Amino acid sequence: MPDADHWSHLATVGDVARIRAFVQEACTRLGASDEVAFRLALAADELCTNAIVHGYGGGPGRLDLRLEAVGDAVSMTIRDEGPPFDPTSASAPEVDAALEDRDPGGLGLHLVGRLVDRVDHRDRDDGNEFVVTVDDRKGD
Amino acid sequence: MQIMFEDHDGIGVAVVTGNADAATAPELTRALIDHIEGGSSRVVADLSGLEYSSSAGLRAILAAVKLARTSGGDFRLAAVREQVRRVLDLTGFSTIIRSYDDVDSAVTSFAA
Repeated sequence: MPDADHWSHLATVGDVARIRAFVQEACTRLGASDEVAFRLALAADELCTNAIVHGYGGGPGRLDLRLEAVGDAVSMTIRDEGPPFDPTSASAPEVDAALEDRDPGGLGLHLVGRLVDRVDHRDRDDGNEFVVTVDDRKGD
Repeated sequence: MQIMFEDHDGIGVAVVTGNADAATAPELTRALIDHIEGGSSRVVADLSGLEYSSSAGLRAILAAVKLARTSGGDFRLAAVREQVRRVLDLTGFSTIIRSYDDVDSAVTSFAA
């Protein structure tokens, strides 16, 4: 049965704009605020870009996204079929460092951590799974 | 994404429109680096038309700032939209990159 809140395609970085649009539309269907949609679309961009560039060597590679409402939160699951990736092993960017000392490595994951309320990662037999959740703070 | 260069009283103004993500950032990086290496190290980026930036777009901006400063100039931002502003704030970039409300203010800041 077609599922409007599920996206599964072979993707390259040329597809990240489409992925953002899918996440925005899914959030609207789920009744989430514009703020939640912004955070999840940007998080999806960063995580999918990492998977395509680092996991698939530029791709194309299979990406599978699913969004669902969980109480007042929206949860987004992103699966890939790339080699196991441990996000805690990625070097953290030195966001307080002086300009000349900055290494932009890990910037995307750092941004995801600042955007969403929870990030869970697990290795699956055939790839990686990220589950990110944003609480809808209407009235903030 | 579109990148156009204008001259405002001897200061290069890069007018950037569209979205900066992993697909478009390489083009942005190349254009900014080429411009600065071409001898214009005092540059303002007019971001009034930049609707979105991921970390890929920030890396392009960071590369331009670093090169401009090591060339004796600077790369300053103008008219940054709210969503891009938030990405700059969340990554700490707004503390190290000078930013102005509009292009004129950014251009005249070089005379100070």
